[in-house]
Amino acid sequence: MEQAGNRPAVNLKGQAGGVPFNPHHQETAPGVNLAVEIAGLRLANPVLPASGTFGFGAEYAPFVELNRLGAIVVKTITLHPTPGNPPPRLTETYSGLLNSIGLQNPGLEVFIREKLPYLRQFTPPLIVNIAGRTIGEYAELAARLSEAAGVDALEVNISCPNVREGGIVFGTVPAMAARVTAAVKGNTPLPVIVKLTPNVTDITVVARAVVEAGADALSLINTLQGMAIDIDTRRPALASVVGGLSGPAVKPVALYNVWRVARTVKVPLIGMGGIMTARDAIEFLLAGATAVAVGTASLVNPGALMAIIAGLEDYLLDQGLADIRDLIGALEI
Amino acid sequence: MLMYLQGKIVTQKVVAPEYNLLVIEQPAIAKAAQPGQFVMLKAWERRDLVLPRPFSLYRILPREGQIQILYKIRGQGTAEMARRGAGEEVELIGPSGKGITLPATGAIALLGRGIGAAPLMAIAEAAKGQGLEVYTFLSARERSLLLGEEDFARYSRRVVTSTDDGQEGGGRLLTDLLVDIIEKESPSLQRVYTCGSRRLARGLIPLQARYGFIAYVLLEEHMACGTGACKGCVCKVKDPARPEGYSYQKVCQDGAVFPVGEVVW
Ligand SMILES: Cc1cc2nc3c(=O)[nH]c(=O)nc-3n(C[C@H](O)[C@H](O)[C@H](O)COP(=O)(O)OP(=O)(O)OC[C@H]3O[C@@H](n4cnc5c(N)ncnc54)[C@H](O)[C@@H]3O)c2cc1C
Ligand SMILES: Cc1cc2nc3c(=O)[nH]c(=O)nc-3n(C[C@H](O)[C@H](O)[C@H](O)COP(=O)(O)O)c2cc1C
Ligand code: FES
Repeated sequence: MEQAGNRPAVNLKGQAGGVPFNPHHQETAPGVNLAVEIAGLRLANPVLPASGTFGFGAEYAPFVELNRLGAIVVKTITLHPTPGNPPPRLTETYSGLLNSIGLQNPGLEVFIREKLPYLRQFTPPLIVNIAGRTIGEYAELAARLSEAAGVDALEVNISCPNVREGGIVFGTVPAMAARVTAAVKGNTPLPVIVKLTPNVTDITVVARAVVEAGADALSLINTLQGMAIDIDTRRPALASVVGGLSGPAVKPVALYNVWRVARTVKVPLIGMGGIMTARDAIEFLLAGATAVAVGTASLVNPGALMAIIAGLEDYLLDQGLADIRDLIGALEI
Repeated sequence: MLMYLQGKIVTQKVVAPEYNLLVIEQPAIAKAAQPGQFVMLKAWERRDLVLPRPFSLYRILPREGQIQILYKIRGQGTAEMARRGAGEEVELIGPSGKGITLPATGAIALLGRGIGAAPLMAIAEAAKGQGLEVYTFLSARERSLLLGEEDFARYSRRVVTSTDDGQEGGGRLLTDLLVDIIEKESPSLQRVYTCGSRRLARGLIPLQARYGFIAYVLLEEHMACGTGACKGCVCKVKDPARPEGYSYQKVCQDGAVFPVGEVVW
């Protein structure tokens, strides 16, 4: 009988990645450029982990060569430790994951003291995602992270659907979103990426407001608000009743939002929402994203990021293209 | 160190109505795994089922290069698992969680309710291999749902059973049956491990001081990553350092084994 042995899991057809994780995968094939630029940051390739699905990097070190990522994006940091929401925090829905983590994180000080030294050893830019309960907290987080060596950009989370104070409140009112953006910009020399929620009537209004307030780039989408009910107990599947939906189920919505925002603002976009394979990632690039982030796919296949990078390269080679930048916004209508 | 690997199904058999035993060839995980640990398993190509599912290691067989999973068919994922047969491949992430640390000498007791027996088998086997005395207590709704009784008998000095219909053990609580044995046989009980019932775990709390053992529970919580990254699988644990008096710990990384006295029930 054939030995299953220590071969890396070969992904089942059509599933996350589609290409087996090979840690010895050669650097980008000669003659093919995967590098892109976002808000002054040079990314060796356009593939990033999505905040909150990649911990603080170390969790994925057994599966992902962190130095091969376009950038490293860590879980949202708040000024003070945040305990998070009561369990159950997760439930699966058709092709989707509904979560209500509630931004559980050890807080700014522990992050700087215990997580940052580990993260500094990697070469890709480090993007730290932040959330405050007040505009003042966003400003303070920006100031203090700018002083901590090793942080290359801030991603401002004004779109978390799972916290009572702050979070999505800032992301749904354009004037508030602009004030948060301006406060962060005023307190940091670092590039500022603002992460948008799809839970609004018109995402382009918020996009325009934060760009006018100084955002250097936008990332979208955060999760879509949703819920699930256990009909046997008649109770909500999540302890906090409402959660955020991610995974393949949200991809069409995410792609549509990216496409619309790309036609509205000039700053680069990091597109995300349901990307499981390199093919999915390419759809986002064609819709106008300069880079993509991968969240739920990593939870399913911890090697997904590597597989997607390799898949992009294969796509360029197959298509006889030399530069991934030729795909950005190249949708033909 | 966590691994993401493919495993090959060696056999799958029905052990009770709705309960299957799955034998998987995966030498690296079989070699690295400790009793009390689990794997995240995905055995389907269906796109509507996104997440892998957590399963305890029922038996860990490093020499054979195999792991065994005893599972109950509950929903779509486990129904898909049940359709897979010998030679088919599954995706595995693991070994996950901290596992257990056995005492150097003396006796241990295992209290399993229903499918909660699954992780206890690996503990029984390791304990017996180390020369410890094992007392096993199993309960279920009815006779046919008492799982692994014969296997447990191989590793245990005693296997005590109880069924809700009263056919076994008069339907008594496993904690009461445990007290009976302690009083009658006075084993030098060091550790008690329980899985499958919150009520059982809570019932062990007052017994610890009285009989001088430490009790641990193997907790379950809905999981996504199984690697500590998503913070989705938490349980509430006492934490005097926090103003709230508790903190949320990850079942997949900080557990799934917790001292019963530290969990906020
Ligand atoms: C650490 C750990 C070890 C486990 N070991 C075993 C074992 O050895 N044998 C066994 O039969 N079962 C075990 N379980 C429970 C098992 O994971 C669930 O029965 C299984 O996920 C159900 O999947 P489903 O698709 O059939 O059910 P569905 O009800 O369709 O599942 C829907 C969602 O809920 C989750 N879910 C449902 N029930 C549970 C549960 N009890 N715990 C965690 N997630 C759940 C699923 O993962 C899935 O995301 C374990 C759970 C954990 C956390
Ligand atoms: C478990 C989980 C936790 C998340 N935590 C955060 C977070 O802390 N901060 C944040 O900005 N987004 C968070 N997100 C949203 C993701 O970064 C991403 O925007 C979203 O999941 C869509 O991408 P996906 O479908 O690839 O997962 C989280 C998503 C999931 C599933
Ligand atoms: S399941 Fe993701 S942290 Fe435990």
